[in-house]
Amino acid sequence: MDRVEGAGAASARHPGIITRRRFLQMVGATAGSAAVMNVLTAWGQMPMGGQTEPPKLQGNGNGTKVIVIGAGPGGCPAAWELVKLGYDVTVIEARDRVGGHVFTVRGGAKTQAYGKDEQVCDWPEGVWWDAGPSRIPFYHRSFFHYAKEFNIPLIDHKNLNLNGWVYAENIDGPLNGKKMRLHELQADMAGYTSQYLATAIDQGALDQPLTAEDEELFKQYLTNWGILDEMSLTYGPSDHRGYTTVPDTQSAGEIADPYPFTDLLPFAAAALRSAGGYLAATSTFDWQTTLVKPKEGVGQLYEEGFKQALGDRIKLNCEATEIRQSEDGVRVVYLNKETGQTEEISGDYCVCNIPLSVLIKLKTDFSPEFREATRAVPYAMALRMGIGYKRRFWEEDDWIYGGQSFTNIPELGILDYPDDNYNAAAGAMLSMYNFGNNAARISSLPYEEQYALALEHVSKIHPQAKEEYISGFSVAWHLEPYSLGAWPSYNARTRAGAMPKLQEPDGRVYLVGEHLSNVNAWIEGAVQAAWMQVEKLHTRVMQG
Amino acid sequence: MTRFSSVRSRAATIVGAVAFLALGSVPLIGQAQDAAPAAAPTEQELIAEGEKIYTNVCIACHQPNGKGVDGIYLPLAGNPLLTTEDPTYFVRTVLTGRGGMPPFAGPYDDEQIAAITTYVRQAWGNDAAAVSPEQVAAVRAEITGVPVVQPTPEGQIPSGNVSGTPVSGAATAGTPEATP
Repeated sequence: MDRVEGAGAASARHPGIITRRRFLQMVGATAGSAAVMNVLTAWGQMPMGGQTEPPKLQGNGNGTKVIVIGAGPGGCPAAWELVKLGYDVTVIEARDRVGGHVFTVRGGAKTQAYGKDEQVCDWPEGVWWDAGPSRIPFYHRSFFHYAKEFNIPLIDHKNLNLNGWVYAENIDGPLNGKKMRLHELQADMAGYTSQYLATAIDQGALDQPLTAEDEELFKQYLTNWGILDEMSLTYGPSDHRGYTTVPDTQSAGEIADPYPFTDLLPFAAAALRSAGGYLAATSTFDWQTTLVKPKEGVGQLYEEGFKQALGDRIKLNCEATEIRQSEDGVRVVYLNKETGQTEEISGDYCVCNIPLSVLIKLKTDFSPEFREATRAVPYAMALRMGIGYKRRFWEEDDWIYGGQSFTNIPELGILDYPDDNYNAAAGAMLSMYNFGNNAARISSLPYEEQYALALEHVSKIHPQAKEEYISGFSVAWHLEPYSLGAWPSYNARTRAGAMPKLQEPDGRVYLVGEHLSNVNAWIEGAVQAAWMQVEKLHTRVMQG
Repeated sequence: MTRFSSVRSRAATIVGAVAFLALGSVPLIGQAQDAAPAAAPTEQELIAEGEKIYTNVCIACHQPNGKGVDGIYLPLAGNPLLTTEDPTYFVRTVLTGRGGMPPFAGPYDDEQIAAITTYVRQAWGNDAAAVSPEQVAAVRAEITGVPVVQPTPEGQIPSGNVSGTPVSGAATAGTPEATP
């Protein structure tokens, strides 16, 4: 314990900071010098740590029977790792597809949300859109791990496209209700910011304790960042803000003047405040490049990867209704939706990939404390709508190939364009993404009204949308059976109180899912939780 | 109505403020609300405002007839838990959320929570007394230890974090600022 206390003392002086030397000391103290060498060797390749692959576990489950409930983002990897460890695994899944929240919508896809009519997608062949997770950040290593294991081809999820549009309404000034290219907005704001700062430095008006050398370097930086005139330190037109007419044989092209700063300010401020604001796409860890996805949508990893690997261990259309356990086993009662019969399956352990919002509706004999923890975490509402269009007007007319456009319309949020099959005839675009009360209100409308509302908003950025419309497909996750919410809404109290309890097994039942991690709402959280629980379960079985 | 609509838009900004908390950029927990004291709303005003919120938000799950969906979304019509003389349980559930139901402490202020609960307590044959904003404030204080959240400038909307319930100085996140 001395060693650990030593580490604690160091981090108390520098909270959150572990120096390389300190880390190597810790590794050496706990794992020996060979481990230090391994770390040193690996350092170049593993700059960010975290768990990047399934735990390496010894021993064999020898046919110990595990029932996995839910072939979702956490259930599939848990089942697959258990299979590889020699367990006898059966996966029961309530839906008629694997993936759960991972849901790539193509022609023929269906939903039957609570209180709604059935919705059937009628987009043409080759057109798809992800109703659930759609982008995988570069640091979500588990996705890369399984995509590699299952040979699923990945493409870039572009996320940021400087030729995408930014639109703001209900703002002051002449740019109200106008759209501009992101490269215009970025160049102008960088230009003006640099101009004001550089001028302040030049006039000795920057109220900061900088040396003359620092000030000179800062000025140089600003001059290059903002594309300022070096002599006057003023911002003016440059190709950073894009062309209004691109160069050709007849002309060197035309570049528009920057927007006047006072006109631009309300627009820029509103655009930054908006949901999933454009700055997130350039700078947040979750949204910055590189992001990826499978070539045929995120669902491809589950449909072609896990589903093929797990084979007939997966039983679709089986809706769990009861989880019962005793000293020596678990019993899961489910409705076989194909036969309408109630059936049951017994095993040694259960791995449960059901969202808490749904789990609390099942009959269970969890301990009172565990049951209370499952009830403690409310879920958020979110609505995503894809619209299929006959023609890729955003490519043909606007020269936008992938990435997003950003708006400050709370009902609309962002537009997300297809990142592949450029020049294809048709395409589907994320055409509405909203949260909370907006999601609640819009989801209460009949589907045709929802689609019409989305089209009305999309037309502000793309007037061609109505003309090229095929059909919409709206998924309000709080109304989806077997989901009942978009993601858990932890607060500091439930994070500290409920989550640790949920991470431990209740008897023979182990939960998996993103709700057991700090990476909520992302596939990565679900897989990390699956790996954690598989390790716990296997360790227990090996200890007999 | 004018007063109510201003309350609504102010509340919308609070959601944004909560989202911004996740960014750690807007210190707002623990500040007192500086809104001018307004006359207490009449019961009719509460019901009208409550109906408006119900038909815009709650209706998605609890349905136009307040009966919910059997076994999935709890019925509000004829639910004795909601019409007890002391409305604390009902108010707390709306503020904090429960199970699949999101918390509404973030998006709605005391008067609006009073409006929603009053409306439900008197709709579809339910028959219970109105809930006052003061009653809501008391429950909110008990839950959060923080009386009211300070509004921020207009136009801020959530970037995914709509979870709401502020807890003593900590971000309420659960949802990344850049959504999946």
